[in-house]
Amino acid sequence: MSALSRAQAPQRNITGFLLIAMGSAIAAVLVILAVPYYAGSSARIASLYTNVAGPADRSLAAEIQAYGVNRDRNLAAAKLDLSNEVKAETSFDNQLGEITFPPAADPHADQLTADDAKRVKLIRLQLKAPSLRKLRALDGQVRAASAAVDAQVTIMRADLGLPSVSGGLY
Amino acid sequence: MSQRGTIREQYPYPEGPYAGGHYQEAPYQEAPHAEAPYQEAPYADYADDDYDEAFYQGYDEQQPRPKAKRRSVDAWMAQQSTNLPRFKRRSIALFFLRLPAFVPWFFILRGWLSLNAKDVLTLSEADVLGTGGEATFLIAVSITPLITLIGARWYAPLRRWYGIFFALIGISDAATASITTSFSGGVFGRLAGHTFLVTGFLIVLIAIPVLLTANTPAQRRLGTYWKKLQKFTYIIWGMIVLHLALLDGFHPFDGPQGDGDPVFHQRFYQILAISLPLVILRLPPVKRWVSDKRAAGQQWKVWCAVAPMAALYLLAFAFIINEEIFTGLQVMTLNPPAN
Repeated sequence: MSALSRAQAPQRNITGFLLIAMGSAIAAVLVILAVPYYAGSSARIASLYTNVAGPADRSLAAEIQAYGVNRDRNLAAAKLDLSNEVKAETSFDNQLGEITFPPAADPHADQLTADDAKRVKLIRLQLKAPSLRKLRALDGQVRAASAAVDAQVTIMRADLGLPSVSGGLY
Repeated sequence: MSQRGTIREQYPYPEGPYAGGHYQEAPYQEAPHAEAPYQEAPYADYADDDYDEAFYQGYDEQQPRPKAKRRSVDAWMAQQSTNLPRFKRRSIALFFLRLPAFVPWFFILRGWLSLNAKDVLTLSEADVLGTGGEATFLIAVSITPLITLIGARWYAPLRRWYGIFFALIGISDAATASITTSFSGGVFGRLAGHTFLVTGFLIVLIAIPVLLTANTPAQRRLGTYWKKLQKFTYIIWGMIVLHLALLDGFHPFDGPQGDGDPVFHQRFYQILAISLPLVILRLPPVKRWVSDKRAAGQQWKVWCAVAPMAALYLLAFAFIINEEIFTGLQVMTLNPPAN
């Protein structure tokens, strides 16, 4: 090996070290940032839930209120309210299914979807009612189904660290 | 004697006549293989090694030899297994290390056999075979940096193995996508109807000649051109990065889907995180620095220096494997995602 290449060797080594140090510095910053990001995943899941629940709640609140008025007066309007309620609940269930919950909350999410599906089934029965009297006759069963949904929502929100809600909302 | 010569003494077979420009000077028939047949050589499996000559420039025999530990590990792996004396330790280890290459096909098999029941291939095949192909490619290109870091070379055949499987999985991905995906425009539209599909299709097209020549007879026949052809791998690498950038964009995912970690699931970020150490460890000055430290008995400095990059690499790779298993199980259970 020539004297020249011997003299060049340490210079090359410094270059090598600097390159590896630069890459590692970038990697270290990214890994350090990844730790708090990963730790915040539960808050992000809660945020995903509220992003789904928020629009559904706004729609449901309006429909429930309108149904309360129309159930005694106008069959067509009451059925329209119930139909919109079904849409809001089905949309919520579908979007809920796309969220990957942590293991503790996952079975509760499944149970919430199942309870909601039962309520939707009952409301669809109401939609077939030929008169206001028969429509109202199913209200008791729907309220019972809603109570089951409310109980599951309370558990779900507790799992996600969210405040509880009432009145058939998510 | 030069350092290069020292390495040849230790590894006469893998280096052989295929080491860079030596092919012309020492034709295969006149190589040391005549005295010690290639098939019987202890490192016959290493024929696909492409040792970088630049790595060894500037060393002479007066310097400490950095290959002592490597030789000991490789020599140990080349011995017969204690429990299975018919097989060498290396062969047994390689057998198990080769098995994960089949995982993408294992996951997709039910989708194929059920002829796309429940649209499972339409909705998930690209996730399973695309991610699987990406993973096999990244394993293939990780072997050389791993050799640089550790020094041992007994696992070098995995580079060719995973490279071949990358191409085969890519071809099967393109074939399945051309039949099952929901893009309009017929077969051509399904393969090249969007910019990200065009890049994916080009990856497969470029991979075909590399695949066809990824064998020892082609290596012999093509001589110095073989190595140039195999360097198409770097074009494929760039195309994969572009493909994922076009697929996932530059921003984290949004919307209601996910598990709260959208940044970790962003495939463009994943491949950048994995490529960073793989590119840096390919740079000749870095290789020389690693070699110097190993020669000086300071391997720990190497580990300390690369630890953050290794952590980033493993983090990103963990989420690729997570994606493969998650979508693979959806196909296996015929339970594809809703959209």
